[in-house]
Amino acid sequence: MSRSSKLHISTYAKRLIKQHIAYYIALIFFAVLIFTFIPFQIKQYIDVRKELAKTNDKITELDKRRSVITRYPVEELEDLVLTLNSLYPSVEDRFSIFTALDNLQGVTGLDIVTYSSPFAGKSPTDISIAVKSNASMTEFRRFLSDHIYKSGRFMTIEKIVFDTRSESLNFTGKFYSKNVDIENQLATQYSSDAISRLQGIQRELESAGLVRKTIREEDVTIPIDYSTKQNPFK
Amino acid sequence: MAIQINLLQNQKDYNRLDNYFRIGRLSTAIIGVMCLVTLIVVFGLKRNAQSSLDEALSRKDILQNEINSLQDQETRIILINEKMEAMNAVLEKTPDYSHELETFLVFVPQTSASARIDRIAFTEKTGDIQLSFDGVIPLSSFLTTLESDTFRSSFESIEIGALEINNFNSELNLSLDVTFQ
Repeated sequence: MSRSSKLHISTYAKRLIKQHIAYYIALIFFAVLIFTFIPFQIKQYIDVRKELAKTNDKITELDKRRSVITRYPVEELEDLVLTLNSLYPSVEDRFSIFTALDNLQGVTGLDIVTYSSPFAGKSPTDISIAVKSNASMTEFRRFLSDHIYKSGRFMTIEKIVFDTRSESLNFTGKFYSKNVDIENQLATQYSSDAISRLQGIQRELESAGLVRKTIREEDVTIPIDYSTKQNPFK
Repeated sequence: MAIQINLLQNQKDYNRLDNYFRIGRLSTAIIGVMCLVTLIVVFGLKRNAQSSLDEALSRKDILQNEINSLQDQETRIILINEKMEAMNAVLEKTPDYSHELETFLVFVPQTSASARIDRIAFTEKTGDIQLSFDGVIPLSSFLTTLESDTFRSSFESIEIGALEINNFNSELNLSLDVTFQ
């Protein structure tokens, strides 16, 4: 009896199952959606949001860089860099020390008698030069206040001895150079102090008559009406 | 053998089975609607985010191009900042001898009938100054100045190195060891 009753219910259930086959397919489809497609879409959305956040950060950084760069006096930068590179060269030009000492004589009024060779030291960033000179008290004071930039080279004093009786001034000056590694560096901060100090130094050098001015190509006129020579050794 | 058919019992079973299937239908419909809503929301959000990203990427490209055109200026700025920083570092370690000398000269007359600076030597943060005096009175007057708070506060330390009498011209030679601040 129970067997026939089971069979009867089972038949009814089978009919119901047949009727609901579309629901089962839909359910399987939704399950696939829920467990694969929707998480995939959500993951894609999260990835896009992350990429957006990263891009926005990059935009903020670029915007900051642009505003930092444009805050500087762009037209003056080339001249300032030329001045700075001759004052504080990237690669040591030992010959320029001779000129610097000559300039120092002109600016401070020292009478330089002798100085050590700038080609003696081996340090790539600084060169010490021992100088013997004659100077009055006024020239000594002027030298102390003007020696840092007004020779046309960045210079500090290591040791100085001034004898007022013999008016002899002996000192050891240190000339510097610095190679700046520009790679992987970004202008992310505006430094008004650096630029205004450099402008001040440039004015100081201008007053001493030592500023290198850039010459624009269009300003240079090449004379073409020169006479030609047949023999270059004559 | 007689077969017993309990229609009431069967009716109950059918109803129960129907209920299960109804719940199944309803759940499928609810899940379907939820899937649809979720998909619509996710697609909508994704579309918005994608368009914002496209906009941001094009803005980034514009800015990048602008910065590329300012590359030379940026290089100059970095060079200026680096070198000025390096110069500052050197100057911070170097005493301002001019300032130290001027401070000293405020208190000591450079040349007068009775006192004179003979020799000035500066090495790093120390100074050795030699003075000569014609007699004890100008020397004691200078030593009084040396004791004053204004003079002492201008330098980190001041020590009298030596006091000698020059027999040749009867001068008093004083040597001062000064440490700068």
